[in-house]
Amino acid sequence: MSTNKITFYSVRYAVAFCAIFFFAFSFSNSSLSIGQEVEEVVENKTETDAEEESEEEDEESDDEEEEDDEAMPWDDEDDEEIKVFKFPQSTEFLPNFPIFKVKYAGFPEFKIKGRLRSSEYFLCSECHDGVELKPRPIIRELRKEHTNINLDHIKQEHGTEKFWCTTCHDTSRPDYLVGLKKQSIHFDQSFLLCGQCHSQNQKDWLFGAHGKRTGNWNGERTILLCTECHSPHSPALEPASPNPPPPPRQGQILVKSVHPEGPRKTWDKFIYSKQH
Amino acid sequence: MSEKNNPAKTVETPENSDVSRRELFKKTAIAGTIAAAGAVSTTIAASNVESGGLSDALDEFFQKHYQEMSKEEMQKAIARLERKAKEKHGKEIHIGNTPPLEGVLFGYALNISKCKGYRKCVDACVAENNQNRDTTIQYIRVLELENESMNFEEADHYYDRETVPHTGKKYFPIQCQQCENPPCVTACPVEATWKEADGITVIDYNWCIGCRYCAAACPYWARKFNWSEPSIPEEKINPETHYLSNRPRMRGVMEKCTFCLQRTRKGKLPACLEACPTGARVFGNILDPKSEIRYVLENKKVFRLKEELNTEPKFWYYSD
Ligand code: SF4
Ligand code: SF4
Repeated sequence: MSTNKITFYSVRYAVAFCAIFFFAFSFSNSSLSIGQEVEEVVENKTETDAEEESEEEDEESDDEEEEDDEAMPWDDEDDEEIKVFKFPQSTEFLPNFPIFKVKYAGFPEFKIKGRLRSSEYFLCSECHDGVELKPRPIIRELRKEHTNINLDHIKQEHGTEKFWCTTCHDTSRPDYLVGLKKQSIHFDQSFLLCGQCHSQNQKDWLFGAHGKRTGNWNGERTILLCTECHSPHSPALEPASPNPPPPPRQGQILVKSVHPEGPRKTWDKFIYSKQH
Repeated sequence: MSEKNNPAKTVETPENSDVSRRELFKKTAIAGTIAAAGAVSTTIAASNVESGGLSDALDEFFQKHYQEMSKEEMQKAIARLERKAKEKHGKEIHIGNTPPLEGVLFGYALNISKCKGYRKCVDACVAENNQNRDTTIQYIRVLELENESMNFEEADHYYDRETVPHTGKKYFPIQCQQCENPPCVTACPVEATWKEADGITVIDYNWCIGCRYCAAACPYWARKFNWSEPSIPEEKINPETHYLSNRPRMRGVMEKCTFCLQRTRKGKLPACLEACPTGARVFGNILDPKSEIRYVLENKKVFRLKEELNTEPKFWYYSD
């Protein structure tokens, strides 16, 4: 965790230095070149620290010029690779959000195997760019790109008319989620968002009684993010067809129960054929 | 018996194991057999030292108990078994012999409120553990029960539904519970099955005589018998095996779940856990106070199957 911070700060200073450098010597340059420079720095960083491939980078100095060209982890949209990163992330990536303020202490450290799994239309900011969405007090129909979203989560009794898109999606920063205290939450840290209501599940997830660990049972702990299994808009797992049942043992046959809904039993084939 | 419980020790210090009466008997038996077989077979045996054949057959017949083999004998036996497996299945198979890890006692917990009865674990297990595909030996049995009931008499593990979970039903997977006090071990007349230091009950398939006493003794229907010569399509064989676990078996021996010790002794997770799409399974070292399984045991309402039998399973069930 401390190395994480050190790398982050060093990268931050490097970025700041480069920015100053560019402002000083090529102030007239378009913002694009600045953006490229930032990307290069990020690349350098990932080369030096291969382990933290997907460490996100976010400029603290949100210059208006730079905003368009922020180096985002999802910039490369073709990149299907699963993003793995160490937790906690840099504080800078969660503006105004005190890092990791969950109620439970003592859970084992973990890495998240999360992925910016979203609609094909992500990045959201490509459409909802810069313009603050005005929440309206009426429930609207989903339109355009959003029609295929299954909103079971908010249609359930406990959700109806209590929350809507903007309860979880940040209106001012569309590529982020937003918590109840209006803090931005990164998509790969959605457990902070889900845990606001589902605190018991969040606790179990942090300690390992809920969710799923991958790779190993000892050593570095990598767990799946909530949204790997649950669709955030309709979180209940859907019924699916099971794998086929085992055949009865040789010489045996499956017979119906005498009770209409009772379980089937295995029976001796020979005896059964004599009886029926 | 106590020294037997630590096979690693026995294997690594062959000079400590004094020549037992059984061994002496075996040696005289070898001599007797060879003498009786006469000059012809001796020459065959000599000519077949490299390529197997009669000498392999003899070696196999006189192969010692897993816990009594010295390191060299073990290597020889494994080499022979690998050779045989390749002959039979046409595929290079690696038979490992990883000893139990120090300070590790494996435990498993299963969240029955999460299990939806998809049977993904069952198929992953069959693929991992090289079970006979003809008779469909399956180590995991997913029981379907009435939602309010715990009556296993009324459970159905042959359920065949369009989609699961079916309304009003719950699902309850059972497999070997790795009892701390395993009745199957007590039942075995030839000590072909025993509990390893990491708590896994294992079987030496070459020592098992196929009497099936253990299957009768196991209260959890965990043991499966190879009634016929196992057949596995070549492309479906898992070549990464362990002597005590998923190496190719033969007709007439008992087999069962070993918590995938070929994987778990190397730090990996069991195949059933990896396959579970609902995350209902938690696996780990119950001696490690920071492990996930310990959290479950300490903070969840856990229960074990047929606790009254005093078998002390290391397989817990819990619900949210
Ligand atoms: S569940 Fe059965 S096979 Fe497994 S250890 Fe217990 S008695 Fe033996
Ligand atoms: S079937 Fe094999 S393991 Fe089971 S009791 Fe008989 S000899 Fe022992």
